[in-house]
Amino acid sequence: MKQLKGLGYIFLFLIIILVLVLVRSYNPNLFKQDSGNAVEAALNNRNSITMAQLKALNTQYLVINLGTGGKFDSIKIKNAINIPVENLLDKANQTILKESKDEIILYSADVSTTAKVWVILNQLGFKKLLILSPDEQPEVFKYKFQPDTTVRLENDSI
Amino acid sequence: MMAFLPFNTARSFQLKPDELLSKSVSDDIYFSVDQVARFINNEDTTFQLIDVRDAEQFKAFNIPGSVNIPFNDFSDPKWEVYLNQKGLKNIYYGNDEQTASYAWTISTGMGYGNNFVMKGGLNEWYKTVMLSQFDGENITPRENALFENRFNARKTFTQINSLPDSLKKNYFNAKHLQASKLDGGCE
Repeated sequence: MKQLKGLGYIFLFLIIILVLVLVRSYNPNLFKQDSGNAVEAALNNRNSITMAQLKALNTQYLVINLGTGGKFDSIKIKNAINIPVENLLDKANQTILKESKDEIILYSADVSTTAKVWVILNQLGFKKLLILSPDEQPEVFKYKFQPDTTVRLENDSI
Repeated sequence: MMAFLPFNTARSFQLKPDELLSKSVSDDIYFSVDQVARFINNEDTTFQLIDVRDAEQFKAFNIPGSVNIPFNDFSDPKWEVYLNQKGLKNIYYGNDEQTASYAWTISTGMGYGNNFVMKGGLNEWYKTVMLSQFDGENITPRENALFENRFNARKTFTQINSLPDSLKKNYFNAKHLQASKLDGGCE
């Protein structure tokens, strides 16, 4: 009888663990991806696409304009869906993104906003995500630094 | 319980998606290049600049006092000592804002606090701090302070990035010694 009672406690403990695991695993309001996935997918900006590349794309795609009102609407793309960044995680908008079988192209006039949204969606499990880059070569230094060859640590120039 | 989960909680974001999104749309996560220039001129020790470009680009030049954490290597646990701290403001920068924004979102999502992005990255730094000049005839005290701040940061940037690597770490000591001599202090 004592042994049976002990087994009952173990069984109860396991049930509680199982319930907690299921609750956490199926909770849509949690990130479950490995953060390293975002780093890997964004290496050397391979998650970016230029306007010229977009025009040449043969496959179907869904363009999401993350702009809010006039703030981010400097680029106009035909058939783009507007999902203001603040409303990105609304249920209706999540459904649009989840139901898309095509490549999802994100853009806003502020590339920093697009980059942050890209990471959030990547970590929510969206895989076919690209950023529309305003530059042909994103993240390139546009100037040339000229070192001053006369600088010496020991002389009076410092 | 964590061990039973079908994903690695130690490597997944700790913040909830709506919480992270709400932080990421705030303008409070940015520092301007003029603010960063002031931190450098004041040798402010409450912030830490994190350069997310690759090691080769970092070696060519960087903002004085920066730590190099290449984005390609960002998920390596060895960087946690820099990323997970409470006393310092971490300011990420790259050539533009895209990579720094990835780094900001990942580190904030992981639950590390005090993360910021230098607005416009090194391209904005170069345009505003390194190339700016005053063309007017009369300068207001405010403009004067702004240009003096940029001029001093530009001088530090150029001098430190013109030195061989072996001497860079001695730069600020030499500068303090020079200032002390000018003030008539002891060596």
